[in-house]
Formats: sequence, structure tokens, C-alpha cells
Amino acid sequence: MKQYKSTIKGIALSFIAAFSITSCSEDVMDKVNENPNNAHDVPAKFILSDVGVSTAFNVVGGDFTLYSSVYIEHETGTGQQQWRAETRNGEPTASSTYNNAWLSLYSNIKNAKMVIDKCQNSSLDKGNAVTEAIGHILLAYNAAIATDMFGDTPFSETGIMNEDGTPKYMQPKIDTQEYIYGEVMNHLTTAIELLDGGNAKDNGLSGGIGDKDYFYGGKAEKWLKAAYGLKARYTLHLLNRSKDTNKDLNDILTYIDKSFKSAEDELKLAIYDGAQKNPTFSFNYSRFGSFSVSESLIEKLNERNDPRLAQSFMNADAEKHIEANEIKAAPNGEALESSSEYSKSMIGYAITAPTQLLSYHELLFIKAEAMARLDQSGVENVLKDAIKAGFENMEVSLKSSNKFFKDNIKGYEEVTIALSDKVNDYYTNNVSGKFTENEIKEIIAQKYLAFYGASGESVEAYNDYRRLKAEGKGYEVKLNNPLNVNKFPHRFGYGGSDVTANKAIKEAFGDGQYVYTEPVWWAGGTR
Amino acid sequence: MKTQEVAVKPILNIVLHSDAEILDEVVVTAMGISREKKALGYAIEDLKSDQLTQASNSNLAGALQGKVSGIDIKPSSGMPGASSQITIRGARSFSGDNTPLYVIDGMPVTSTPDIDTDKQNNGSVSGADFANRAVDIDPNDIESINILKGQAAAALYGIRASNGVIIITTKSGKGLAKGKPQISFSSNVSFDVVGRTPKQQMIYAQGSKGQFDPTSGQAWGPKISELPNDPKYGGNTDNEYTQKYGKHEGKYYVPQLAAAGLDPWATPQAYDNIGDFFRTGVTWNNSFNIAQALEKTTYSFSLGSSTQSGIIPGTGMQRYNAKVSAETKLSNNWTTGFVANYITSNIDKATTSGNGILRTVYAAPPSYNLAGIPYHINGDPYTQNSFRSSFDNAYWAIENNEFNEKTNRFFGNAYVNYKTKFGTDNHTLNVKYMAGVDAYTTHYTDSYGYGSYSSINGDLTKYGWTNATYNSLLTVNYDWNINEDWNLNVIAGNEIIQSYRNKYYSYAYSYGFSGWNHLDNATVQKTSSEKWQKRTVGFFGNIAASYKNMLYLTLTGRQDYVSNMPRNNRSFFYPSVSLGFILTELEALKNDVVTFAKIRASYAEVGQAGDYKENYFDIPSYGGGFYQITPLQYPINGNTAYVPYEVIYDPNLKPQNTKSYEFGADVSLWNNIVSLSYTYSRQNVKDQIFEVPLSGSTGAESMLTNGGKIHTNTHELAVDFTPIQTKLADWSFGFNFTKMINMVDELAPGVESIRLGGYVTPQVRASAGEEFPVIYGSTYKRDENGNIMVDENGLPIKGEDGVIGKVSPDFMLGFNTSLRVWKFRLNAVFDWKQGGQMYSRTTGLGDYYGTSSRTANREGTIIFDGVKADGSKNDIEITGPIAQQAYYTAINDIDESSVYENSFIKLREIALSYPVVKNKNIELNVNAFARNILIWATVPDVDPEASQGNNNMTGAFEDYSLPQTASYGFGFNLKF
Repeated sequence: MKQYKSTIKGIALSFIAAFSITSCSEDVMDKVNENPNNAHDVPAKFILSDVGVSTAFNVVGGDFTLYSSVYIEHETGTGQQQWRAETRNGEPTASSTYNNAWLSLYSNIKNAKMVIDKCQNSSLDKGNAVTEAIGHILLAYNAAIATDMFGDTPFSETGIMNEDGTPKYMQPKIDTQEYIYGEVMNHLTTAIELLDGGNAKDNGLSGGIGDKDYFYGGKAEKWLKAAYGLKARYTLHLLNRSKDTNKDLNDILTYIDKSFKSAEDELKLAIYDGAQKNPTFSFNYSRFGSFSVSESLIEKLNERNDPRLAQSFMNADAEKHIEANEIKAAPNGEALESSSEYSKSMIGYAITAPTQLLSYHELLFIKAEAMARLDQSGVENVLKDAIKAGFENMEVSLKSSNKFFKDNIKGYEEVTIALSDKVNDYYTNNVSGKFTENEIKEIIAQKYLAFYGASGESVEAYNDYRRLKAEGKGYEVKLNNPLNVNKFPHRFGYGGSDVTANKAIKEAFGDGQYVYTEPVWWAGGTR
Repeated sequence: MKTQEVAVKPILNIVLHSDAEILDEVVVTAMGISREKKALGYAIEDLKSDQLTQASNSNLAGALQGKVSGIDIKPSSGMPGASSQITIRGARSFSGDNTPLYVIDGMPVTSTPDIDTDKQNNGSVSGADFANRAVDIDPNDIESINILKGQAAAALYGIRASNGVIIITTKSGKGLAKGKPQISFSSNVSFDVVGRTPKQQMIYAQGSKGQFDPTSGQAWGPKISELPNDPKYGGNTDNEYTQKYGKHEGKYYVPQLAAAGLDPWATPQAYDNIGDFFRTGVTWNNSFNIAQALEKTTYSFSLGSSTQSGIIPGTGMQRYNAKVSAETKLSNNWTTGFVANYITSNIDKATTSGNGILRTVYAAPPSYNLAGIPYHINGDPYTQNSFRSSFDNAYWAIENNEFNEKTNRFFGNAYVNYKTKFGTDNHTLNVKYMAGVDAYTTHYTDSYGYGSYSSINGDLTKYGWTNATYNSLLTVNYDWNINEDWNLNVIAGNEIIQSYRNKYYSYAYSYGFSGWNHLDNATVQKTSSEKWQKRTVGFFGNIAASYKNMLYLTLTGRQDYVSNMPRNNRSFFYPSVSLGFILTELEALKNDVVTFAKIRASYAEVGQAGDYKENYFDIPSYGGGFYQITPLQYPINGNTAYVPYEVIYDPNLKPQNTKSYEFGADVSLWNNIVSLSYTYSRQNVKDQIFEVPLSGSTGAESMLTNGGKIHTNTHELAVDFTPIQTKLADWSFGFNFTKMINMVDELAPGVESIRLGGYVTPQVRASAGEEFPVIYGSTYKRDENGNIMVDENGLPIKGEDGVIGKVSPDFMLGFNTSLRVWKFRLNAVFDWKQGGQMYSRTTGLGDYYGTSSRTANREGTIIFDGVKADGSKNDIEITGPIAQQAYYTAINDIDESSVYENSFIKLREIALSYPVVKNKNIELNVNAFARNILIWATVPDVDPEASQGNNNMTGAFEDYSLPQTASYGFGFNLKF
């Protein structure tokens, strides 16, 4: 009996031991650790879909535009980070300032590269020509903003992943702006080829991108126009470095001819419906008082007795629409840090205004500038069309704000938003004279005013200013911030994550003061 | 021999108690192994039931404070169910778990929170706290606690041992005399009042630059008494309102009164908005236990309840505990038993920090009657009426926002034990198999109601975790008394832990209409779920040999296999060795003064695994950064996108490794009148597993990989005195002293610091070359000599971002005393923490807003202690309200200005008890107690133990954190 018992014990023990051993083999443990909650791979279009949204929301409509609008005086920073940017106190030279945008930008670049790679190499995605073309266009778009903001910056070694998902280059090297712009143009050319005159189709096994493309629903002919439009924009950016200005200006006009025919064609993210919110709105709603009405902007509007003056501004509490004579603008560079002192921009509440990656009015302004530079005739008509397209875009934003206030503020008195019907009078009475005085200067001034809004276009105004300042002919708009004497940010400083973890960037960044002294390459700088 | 007083009776029957009894005290060590305390080669700390519950604290972490050395207990607040961080001998992990393993009645149970405030609350600076699961433990049901502080003590627990172990033995019928059941009932009530709160100025009204502004967030307006003369709102002056309603002498127009539909003309006065807001919380604790020892069976049945209402209206906790345990002897060899616990708890919480409930209480201008003016406008309970916008009016928030967690939990185990002596005297074999389960579900609700400023038309998150952990433990214990001198004990065992975790998550915002804060009323909804499994399989062995009750040597080893590491990096071996040498067993050293002396040394290696996952795609999320709302949310137009997750997992991840050694001595003098215990320990931790920040240009944000080194030197000293032991009175007191230096030697290459929580700045970080953790943010600009520089207005200048404070204290000292005079017993516990710093945003913003009492002297002059541009001492006077406001605005922009030294002394507990009846049949004790009633602290406005985060940042960062409480109460224990 005793023996019998110990046999049972022996069996029981060895059973437990055997179970213990088999329960911890690598295969069993792999199974235990399986992650059923996330996809381990997805077709390219699901990635590309967010490259578009993130480019619009995080890159175009995000921090780049917020800070550009301060530097370019579309708004005056009167609260926290924006006030410190306004007063050039810390923010412009700190590596933490643009890190969020930096992360989004490089995440977009990685994802766009992944999309292109999948469309070329993955059996499911091969043959998706439109998807791949969009990948090239958005890659070019993010690369261009990266170098416009940061000058020489990593690109060729960014976002390249090993098989196991780890980055191939832990500290991507810095590429020159010239090289990156070469790549931007190459990717746009590749996209144009892939789009096959607008006839391209997604033929891969994973299916077409369709409505996962929030811009154009996967329509090749629309993307083709956008690609040409972007070529025009980027050729203009590089004008100071042009080897043959005449050719480039003519190329710009050719590109624009192949691009947007109306605002319908614009490359814009128009998904905001109230539940999904415009980034400018989301910022102003979250950080009330960070922005106030810019004195320098009001000055420019006043000079032209601009119809936007009467329609675009709110009282300090942003609860009541105000007339032109009631505006209390915040002095640029010298404003108090206060949310209750100055009037506010109405467009800050344009909850449904689309984000413009490339607008029709921008192309018309580029066209006007190119024509003026080539001494062509008919510039005035183009300019007038540009102003009108700009007014129409502004109307969309103001109407959205107006509705938001009506829905959310008790006792809010609605404003009748009407700008575009005033264009002819405005042009004749207030623009024409200035245009005659200095064609390019007025085109740029009007472009600047058209870029004020909720569409995320302050970055392009900032690019124009730097390009024209470098040209040295005085075409740029006048900025009022007295600190610009020695503290105009010629560029944005590298993102903090690379300043910490990427040696080359850390060295290039130094103490961050270089942003006040070194323009980017296309604005006459060396890096 | 221990001195005994014996009543003189006709026949003396004296039982002689051996002194050795104290020294032969048996403690529970790793894996439930009972050993004589004197045999241990490492430090162990044990606490008994009465030490824990002397002041009726229903929170275990709170009940431990000041009573043990080498342990840092950091509560987050005094709110019911508030989280607290317990770390033993410093931190080993930067961002991972540093809290000890809890083992209750032989089985490891979950004690950590499921929700990390860093993840759920944007860096622990929004939302409400999350309780840790140790909150489920009822201190009243604890028989004893043993704390295994060092890695050698804990090494048998393998991969989970690196943070030390808290072994809890609950009350059971064991040890009772056989016979009738023993019933005990205890009940107490305590009244909790708010502890430290900011002192406010009571002179100046709402506004800025001396101008009254009824919607300003600041109190830099005119004198309150001057309000009737205000040009815009005064009842004495000619303005919009007096033109409309006529003059109101001595009064002023309050738009919020008008909005509430009340008489808008008010006579100015100063309001105590903070005092008005807090209420007296009440806590009821009841516990009932019946236990009995029968011929072959013992059982115990307990019920406990703790009902607490917090000092902030709407907050509170209800917890009910039930436990049954039994053990029966089946035969001479076989014993079987079980223990089963059921707990249900419900915690109502309030928000802190960025959108904290106190944000509108502490910052309310004294001229505004926060409690008196209705918090909503007339006719619409959802539209707020407050002194400012952007932050929810606290009274509105109480009615409209909800933060709750509800838990149902079961844990317990059943075991069978076989014991044989093989028919010999000197061989004992014990084989025990135990199977246990710890299963619970917690449901969380975070709800900002329709009209909240933290949302647009409402924002609701409902989510929860269901966790089940199964534990199988086999131990074979063999004891061999080889001869008079030698004794050998060998243990071998196997443990399998398998856990399943399921999460559901639903998030919705933008309600269609007011009055119904529900998922079904939201225009945007998102749901998701997660499930995870984890398995640990461990084999362990323990060999202990002793020689002549003098030399004790223990070797342990454990091989662990864990599922949550990458393939081929899953198995690890952890050894330990410890040696104890009782000097007083040497004949030559026996004397009358030194009753007992032991020296001990140990060495151990243990590790910690990380949660490795195969790299994956995730749905991108929008928000964070500047956004206080969720701006975008997939699906968009019915489509969802997926991108590679921002954190990369390193397929070569290996476990982090802690090597530790400790040396110590235990000495008793004069028959234990004085006893002291000293331990020095050193831990070297390398290959920490954490999310190493990457260059953003890689396209990823961080990588979960190994990196870094941290080391800790700890000195622990416990001294106990029992100077008086007589029939009339006895008195004992003791100190426990801890000095800990926890240095971060390095992080990953190129990484100087990593964030643990906070805003963009300031943050709490781990920083290479600094003690763990530090406060990081904008500094004062200093010249080469380290003097703070001022500008032409005499205001300090903001410098670069850098380390602005170190959090860990220089030392901690607990003081306990117990005094009995006749039948009265008085216990007290003091706790002293010296040094270390804390960031207090509440304090800094109190100055910025002009509400703090420091801003009361506005006519006066401030000269900032600094140097001017030319290097000379600053003498620029900042005089008058406008200049002072500019001064406080300037320093508020410099994070360093809100860092304060964080030394404090607290009277943790004081308790008086008296046995009303004590005889063979019945015992009745009554007691009165108070907790945290005396505080000396260097932090100016807030409690030094109120802070953000339920993780490693606890204790470092205060931001409208909920306050601590002082409690007064009384109760009774009845036993029959």
C-alpha cells in the first residue's frame, strides 16, 4: 500500500513537472504572447489614408502654421507659448518648440515611403498606380515642408525600417536642402508619370484607394493637377537659386495651366464636420487667448479699407462680433500676455473650415507673380481672380465661425458674411492703385492677406517673406515686430527628439540661436 | 531569563519563559517558508496586527507609514481610495513598476493599478487618479505583515522579486485554543477634515492691473472695498449699469448674479472660497470575525466594511470585504485547506491638475462668492456661471462630471499538504500543492458632462479591465537534523502563473442635447477591446544549512520562463546566497550586556521582464499637445486608417538585471531593553527596460529596449528601546532611519533624460547623473557665478530648460512610541522626511493669479535676490500692485520659481486605548485616535504628500492635486 501511494505521488509529480516543462517551450510561449489586438500588416491604402490626414492636420494645420502666423504677424501671440514666440523669449530657439510637428512630419515621411515600397514590392499592393502616385506626392509634400522649415535636414535615411520593424538608421544623416528639393521634384515627376495623364487606375489585389483618399476619392486626374500645382509652388520657392529664371517662371506658368481650374480642384482636407474639427479651431478653443488680433495685419487691411475688416473680428472675449473701429489690436512683439486685453480673430472658430494643402488662390497668386516678373500683360485680371478666390475661401471660414458662435454662445448676434461680391469695388478703389505702384509687392501683399485664415496657409506666407527678403527688392510685406532687428526667426529649429538622440542634429542645433542668424539655402543661406 | 512578576499564591506555580522566545520569533519568508528570524542572512521587517490598526487607518499604505525602514511610501492625496506608491530601497526601473509584490496567504495578488495616469491622463496632468489594487486589502483582517526588502530575501519569487515582497498573513483560526468559537467585532468612526490649503489674500478683488474685471481669472484688481467706486461696475459711479438700473450706493454690479437671475447688486466682501468648499468627511469601519479551532479543523470567517465620504463633495469610497478560510487534518499525513476572499469597492473621485476641481476653488478671487452664486445660469443647469471660463466651476463639476471606479474581486487558494517523518525523528518531508486564483473586474467612468470646458458638449469614457491570474505552486520541503550541530533544509518547487487580461473601452463625445450624459446621446463614438495573456513558469530550489544555531547559510536558485519577452530571450536564472552568524553563540562572547548579536551578509541577482510585443500597426490618434479636446477621431467618413505604432519593440530585448548585496547586524542589549538593527545594501541595476526616445527623424518616437544603469545605496537603522516594563506601566519607543541614494548612472546613448510625466515643461524626469527622479523645466538665467540675473525692471530672466529640482529626500526618520499607564495605552507615530524638492504649481499660480496671501502686501516693495546685467547686486524695487503683478507674471513663466524644498514632519498617528472589560470570556477595548493632525512642512501652500501620478512621478509634481486630510475618530473592539 505504501509503495502504491508513493507510485501515485511519483506519477503526480512527474505529471506536474512534465506539464511545467511543456508549458514553457518557445512555441507555446509565442502563442501565449500573441497580440490579437493589433494588425501586424495592412494594405498600403490604409496607411496612405492617414498620411493625408496627418499631413493636413499635423503638418499644414498644426504647429508650423501656429508659429508661422506669429512670425508673419497674421496673429499676435498673447498667451503662453505663442506669447513667448511673439516676444522671442525662449520658444523660437528651444528644441522642444517644434518637436511635436517634427515627429508628425517624419512619421508621415516614413509612412509615405512605406506606401511606395508596398506598391512596388508587396504582392497585394503591386499595380496600385494611383495609390503609389499619391504616396510620391505626399512624400514630396512633407519633404518640402521639412526642408522649408528646417533647411538641411534628414531625409534620405529617414523612415527606413528593417524587416523586424526597427529603424535601419538610428541617427539619420542630414541632407542638404538642394538635395531634398531635387528629391521633391523627382517624386512629383514620378507621380505625374504614374498618373498617366489622369488615366491611371489602382489595379492591385488589395483594391483601389477610393474614398480612403479624403482629398479626391482616388481620382487620378485631380491628383495630376495637384502634382503640377505643387511643382509650380516649389519652383517658385527656389527662384532665388534659379539658374535660368526665365525658364523657371515659364515652367511655373506651364505647371499652373495643367493644374487647378477652380476651387473645386483644390488639394484640401474637408472632412471637418463639427465632430471632426479644424486644427486652427481646435487650437483656439483649447488655448483661448493664445492669439489676439495682430496690429500689423489690421494696419494692412486698414491701408486698403479692406472689406474683411468689418467681418472678421470679435471682441476680446470672443463672444461678440465687432466693427472695424472697435478692433483693439495687439501690438506685435510688445503685446501683453493676456487673454482678455485684445480683440480676437473670428476665423479662430472656423470649426469646419477645410485645411488647404494647396489652394486655388495660391496658384493664382503664383501665376500673377510669375506673369508680373515676366512682364506679361493681363496680370491684373489674374490678381483680381486670385483675390476673389481668396475671399471665397475666407467666406467659408467666416461662415463656419459664425455658425459655431450662433450654436454655442447665447445671445450671439449673427453677422452676414459677404466678401466675394465686394471684390470688384475693392479692387478698383483700393488695390488697383497700389498694384500700379509696385505690381509684385501688391500681389504679395494680397497673397499675404488671402493666407490669413483658418486654412493653414501662414507657412506659405512665411516662405514668401523669407524668399522675397532674400531677393532684396523689397517685395515682402512689412512686419512690425521691433524684435525682428536681430531676432527674426529665419527658420524653425530642429525637433528636440533629434537634438537629443541624433549627434549630427545636436551639433547643427547648438544652442538654437542659429535660427536668428542663418537663413535656409533657398533664402540665401548655406544650410 | 525574563523578569516576571508573579502574584504570591499559596502554591507557586511559576512557568519560566525563556528569553529566547523573542529571538526565536518565527517569520514567514519567501514561498511561505517559516523560519526563525535569527536564522536569516538578510533584513526582514515584520509588523503585527495591532501596530497596523492602532489608528484605524483603512488604507494599508497609510497604516504602514512611519513604521518601517528602507521603505518610501508616497500617497498621492488624502482622498478615499487614493493611489500611493510604495518603493523598497529605491527604484530599479525608470518608467516601469517599482512597487513590491504582494503575497497574501501564500499567493501573489495584483497590487498595481490597471490604468497608468501617465497614459490615461496625458502625463498625469489631467483627469482623476486611479486606485492601485492594494486598495482592496482590509488592514483589519491582517494578522501580520512581513516585508522582504532585499533581493536575496525575495529571490525565490524570481522575475517578480526585484522590487521586494510584502507578505501578508490574514487572520485565521490557527493558534486558537480548541473549543468554543471566538467572535470579535470592531467598529470605528472617524471625521476627516482638509489638511493644508493655500492661505489667501482677502483684500483685493478680481481683475488685472488694478482694474476690476468680473470675468478675469486673476485677483489683481482694486481693493474689494473700492468696488462700489469702480467706473464700469460700481454702484456709486455713472456707468452702463447705473444708467440702466439707477445708482446703488455701496454696491457693485455682478454680472454672474444677473446671469443667475438674482439681484445683481452686491455689497463687496471677501469670501473664504476654500473653507466654504471642503466638507467634513466621515469614515465608518466595521469588521466582524468568527474563528474556531475544533479537534481537527480550524476555520475563520470575516466581514469588513469601510464607508467613506471624502472632504470634497461627491467623493467617497465603499468597500466590503468577506473572507472565509478553513483547514482540516485528514490524517496524520494529509492536511487540506482553503482561503477565499471577496471584495467589492466603489470609489468616487475628483479631477486634479490641468482641469482639476480645485482649479476654480484655489484660484477663485476673494471678491467672488463661489459658493453663493449659482454655478449655472438661470433656467439652464448646463451652462456654467462662474468667475471665469476655460475651467469648470467646481460646484458645477460636482453635479455634472463623474469619475468613478467599481471593482469586484475574488482571490483565494486551496491546498493540500502531505507531511511525513519517515518514521524517524530527524527527517521531515513536507509536500504542498496549492492552486489559487486572483480575479477581478474594474469598471471605470470618466465623464465630463454636457457644458464642461474639458469637452465640447460632453466627453465620456467608459472602460474596464477583467483580470484573472491562476497560480499553481508545488513545494517539496525536506528537513534533516543531521546531528546536534548540523541541520539541513532543502526545498524544491515549481510555480506556474498564467494570467488573462481583457479590456473594453468606449469613448464618446459631443452629446446631442443636455441632461443625458450617456454614450447613446453622443454624436461620435469609438469602441475597442484588448486581450492579453501572460505566463511565467518557474523552478526553484533552496538549500539552508545551519551549524550550532550559530551559522546559517542559505543558497537559492530560480529558473524562470516568461512569455512576455521575445523568443530565445525568455529564460533566466536567478541565484542568491545569504549567511547569518550569531556571535553571541560563541562561548567567548557570551556576556550580560550584549544579549544577542548577529552579523549577516547576502548577495542576489534578480531581474525584471518587459512587455515585448511584435511590432504592429495602430489606429492613429489626434489630440494632446496644445489640444485639450479630441480634434479628430477615426473612423472618418466611415473609414479607418492604420499606421505603424509610434513605439518600436526591440526583438533583442533582454531582462533587466539587478545585482544586490547587503550587510547588516542585529544587536540586543540588556535583555532586549535596547535592540538595534542596521543594514547597508547596494543595488546595481543595468539594462533597464524602457521606451528609449529615438530621433524623431527615424519616423518612430521611441523603442522599448534595454539601456541605462541605476544604483542605490541604502542605510537602514532601526533602534528600539523598552526602558520601562512594570506592572503599572510600560513604555517603549523606537526609531527607524533610512538614507537612500538612488542614482541614475546612465540612460541610453545620447539620451540625457526621459520623461515620467508632467507638461511640456515642467516635467518629472529620470536624468543621467542625477538622483531619481528629478524635476525638469525652465530655469532662472544665471551668470557664471551662479547668481540669478535680473533685467532692467528687476525681474528675473528665464534661462534654458534644465534640472530644477531633485525629489528624493536626504533621509527619512520614523518614530514610534507606545506607553501604557495602568490600563491606558497611548501609541504615537511621527514621520520626518528631510530634504528633497517638489514642484508646486498651485503655489506658483496662487501668486500669478494674485490669490495667495503672499500677494497681499501690494503697496509694498519686492527686491528680487539676484544680480543686474553689470554683475552688481540687484536693488531695483518692484513697488505697487501693477509692478508686483508683472513680477509674479514673470516668475510664473520660470518653472524653477515653483520648486520648493519638501521637508516635513507629521504626527501620523496618535491613539489612546482602554480595555473596559478584560476577562476570560469577554474583552472590550475602546479607543480614540487621530491621524495627520500636526504637520510642519517647508512647502508653503500645500500638503507635502499631495501630488500627481500613480506611478514613478508620485511625490514630485503638485498641480491642484487633491489635499491630504487630518482625521479624528474613536471606536471599540469587542471579543468574546
